[in-house]
Order: sequence, then C-alpha cells, then structure tokens
Amino acid sequence: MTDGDPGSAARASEPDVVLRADDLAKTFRLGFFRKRVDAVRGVSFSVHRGEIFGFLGPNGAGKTTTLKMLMGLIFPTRGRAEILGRPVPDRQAKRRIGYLPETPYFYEYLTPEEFLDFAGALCDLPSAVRRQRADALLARVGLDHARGRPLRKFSKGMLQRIGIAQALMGDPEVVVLDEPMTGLDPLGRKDIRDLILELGRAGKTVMFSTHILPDVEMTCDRVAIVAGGRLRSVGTLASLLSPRVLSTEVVLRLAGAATPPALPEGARRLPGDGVTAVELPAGADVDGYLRAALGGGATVVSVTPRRESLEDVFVRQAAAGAPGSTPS
Amino acid sequence: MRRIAAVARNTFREAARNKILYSLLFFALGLIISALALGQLSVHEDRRMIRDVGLFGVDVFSVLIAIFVGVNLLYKELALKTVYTILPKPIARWEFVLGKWLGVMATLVAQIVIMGLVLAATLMAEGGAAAVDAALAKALWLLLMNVTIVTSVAMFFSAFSSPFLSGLFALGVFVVGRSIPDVRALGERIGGGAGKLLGPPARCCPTCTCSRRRGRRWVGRRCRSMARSWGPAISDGPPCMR
Repeated sequence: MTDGDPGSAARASEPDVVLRADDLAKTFRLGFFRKRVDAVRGVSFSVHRGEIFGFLGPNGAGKTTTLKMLMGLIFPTRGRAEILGRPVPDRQAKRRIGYLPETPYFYEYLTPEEFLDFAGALCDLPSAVRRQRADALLARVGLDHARGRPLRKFSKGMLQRIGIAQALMGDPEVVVLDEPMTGLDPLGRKDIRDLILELGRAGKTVMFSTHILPDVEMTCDRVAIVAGGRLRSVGTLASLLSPRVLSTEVVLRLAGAATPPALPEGARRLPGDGVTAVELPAGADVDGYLRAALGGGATVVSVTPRRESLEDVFVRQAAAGAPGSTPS
Repeated sequence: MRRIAAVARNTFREAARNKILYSLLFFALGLIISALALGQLSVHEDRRMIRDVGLFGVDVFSVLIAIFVGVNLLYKELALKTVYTILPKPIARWEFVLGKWLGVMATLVAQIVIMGLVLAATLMAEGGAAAVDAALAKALWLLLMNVTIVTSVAMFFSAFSSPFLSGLFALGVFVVGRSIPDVRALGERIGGGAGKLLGPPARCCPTCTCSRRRGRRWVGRRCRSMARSWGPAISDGPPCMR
C-alpha cells in the first residue's frame, strides 16, 4: 500500500480530512444456510478537502459496498466511517453531502423538475431556492429540453445526469458518485468529467468510483485501488506509477536499399503500416540502435518510451485481489 | 416537517398516477351507483338499500386499496432501490416511513371522500337532501379509521416481505380483526381450555370493528383496547360528529 495503511489513515483531528474510512468491513450472510460473503475486508483511507478522489476496482471489488457504508445506507460489520468529522450516519453531515447511487433508480412518474424539487425539499431548501437550483442544474447537466418529460422516458445517460443533478441540489461540500460514467457515451462521459473538474475547481471534494481508467487519469488528484474487498493502493497517480521506462518503441522508415539494424537481445518487431516498428526492452542501448539505423540509411519517425500506466497498476492490483491470490 | 411533507406529497403523487388504483376506484363507484338499481328491487327500503350497499362498497374497496397501496409502496422503494437516493439526504428513517404512511393515508382520504360524495349524490338522487345526514359522514370517518389500521399492518409486513405475502398477511389480519367479537363470543360459548385458546388471537389482532351498524344508524363502537386500535377518541369520531 502506498500511503494509506490502516494505521496511517488520516486521523479525525486532521483539519483537511472530510471523509475517513477506518478498517471498514462488511460481511453478508446469503441464502438459506446463511453463507458468509466478505464483501469488504477492512478498508482504510481518507479523502482530503478539495481533492478529486478516484475509487478504483474491478467489478465485485467492494467499491459500492464501501460507498454504501460511508453513506449510512448499510451498517459496517466492523470499523467506522466519518464524514466531515462526524461518525456516519449523521444528519448534520448529510446536509453537506451529495450522493449518486450506482445504476440509479428514480421515481419514474416524476418529471426532472418535480424530482429535483423533491430532492431539494429533502435537503430542507425553501421553495424559491429549490426552483432556482433546479433550473440551474437542469441547464448544467444538459436536460433543459426534457424538463417536462417523465423520468420513465429517459435514456440511461439522461438518468445518470439527473442523478448527478439531484446529488448537487443541496449544494454539498462533498460529492460522492458511484460509477458516474456508467452507461454514458463518449460525449456524456466528457460532460461528466468536465463537471467533476468544475466541482473540483469550485473547491468541492469529489469522490467517485469507477473502472474507466482514462477518466481517472484525467480528473483525479489521488486514487485508491480496491480488489477482493481489500485496499491495494492509495495515493497520487505519480506515487502509484513507477517512473521507470519499461520499454522503448522505435519507428523507422526505410527508403530504397536501406536495411534495418539487427535487433538487440529481447527486442521484438511490431506490426507497422509502411514503417518498421521495434520495441526495445528496458535497459537496451537505444542510442546505439538509433545510430545504427541512421547509419544504414533509415529515417527515425518516432521514439516513444513506455512507462507503467494506471492500467498496468490496476491489472496488477486486481490480479492480486482475485480469488485464490495471496492477500497483500 | 418539510421532509416528511415532501415524502408524503411524493407518495400521494405516486398513488395518484397509478392506473390500477383508478380501476379500483371506478369499480367502487360503479358498485355505489348500481345500488340505485338494487334499491328498486326492495320494498319501501330503497334508501336503506342504497346506503347499505354503498357503504359496503366504500368499506371493501377502501380496504382493498389500503392493502394494495400499503404493501407496494414501501416494498417498491426497497426493491427498486429508490430509497438509496433518499436516505443519504438529511432525513431520518422514521421520517421517511412516517411520510410514506401519511402519503398513503392522504390517498385513502381522497378515495373515501370521492366514494362518499358519489354515495351522497346517489342517496340524494333517490331521496333528496334529507337522505344525507351526519350518520353517513360518521360512518365514512369510521371506515377511514379502519383503513388506517389496515394500512399500517400492510406497510409493516411490506418492510420485510414480498407484496403478495404482505397482502395475504394484511388481509388475514383484517379478516381476523373484523371477526374479533365473534371469536370472543365463540370462546365464551365453548368455555374451558379450548375457549381460552381463542383469547390470545383476539387480543393480538387489531380490532377492525370500530364501525358497526346499530339498528338504522352507523355508530362508533368504543374499542376496548387502545393498543388494538386507534382508541376511543378516533373510533367515536371527532367531537363534532359525536
């Protein structure tokens, strides 16, 4: 674990910690024989004020269960959670939180305006404020054109948008989104990504779970990776990703009688359309290879060092959490 | 209070947009109006026939609607996970349940008022304004008190059971509750150990016999146990109707 072992999880006394999970665990008892299923097995991390925090993990890793415990929807079997310095569930803390559940289901007989008004009333907002915020949020999530349409006629992407709008009705300090990009097309994903970044710029704390890694790389200040109900890593992207070069990809164009240089040991040729592409292993003499190529009459098109990506880390951590693997 | 009112308003809106409820309501209205034809078959008892059949219709259909709405609304919140959007908001769980109950009750009040108005109009069509008196309003009030019990029982079962089973349980409790005086009388008649065996069920079930017909008038029957019903104050009707 990079910086978030249970002992070093942010303490309540830390002023900038807005959300803290301390050894959270949840065991479900399923079926007639009450078979034990450990969905979350002691997760500890903290989210700091004003940051965008990504909560990553493969399907079934325990992300949604952890978020439900943080929101007070289910009770942990062990451990404790705090939001804004108060133990979950707390009415005062709830006033300052917005939450989008996974695959949200809403009252399908309501129109977006009615639904947002309902969400605002639950946050104790006066009628005039509710109307004003509903108008602004409908415009912000791009549902202005559908304000009179019942939610049952909404597409999955539109439901996701109205879900985010209801989470923001109370103008919360902390926004927790469970898989906000699910079911959205690329344009919708970009909209939500922009919205998350906008919330971050407005000083709000955003925590969202996902397994769409490019979105995380583009938006998050810090990430936590869970797999098999355990926290595998938590930290900034820079601290999670190794700066070490794993391999170097060289693309050459061979004109006329030019010949490619001999491949160094461990190198392999990559498919290329009208060019010669080669992957040189870590530690290979790239300079020497390029000199040889230029000396042989080739033109260098590109040289790209490949470092560890979030996907590499994610796959490694997810594999560590797969059934049958040794817990880290 | 705003939060409870919001949940109640939403629950009422959900029920008001439910087409099945309208079917039940129209069926009840059809039965009440058809009492006009039944009245023609009786000998000099037209008004009484209309009143009896009409109140029977209001009674049966309000209980059916109470069970239908009561077993579905809370269960749907859990099954469809709409509750996941509500509970993270600053609302306590008891406020949510109370709001749902108030919403269901508002729906039932609306239904009983509509059925009562149609019954009153039917009576007036047969016997003029004199055919409608305070006893009718009191009877409707008592029927409403009955459905508060039925709704509560239905919502209680729907918190942990499927709508079908909750409906059966609630209907069962209602039937037993309606039969409590007969069960008690049976126990007294049998006597001995066997008779005493009937005591606990009669004591456990809420009494659903708050409204009873005495002679030609519908009157409130004082419920003996407040725990078994909503108490004498409600069962006797509001002071203006006593």
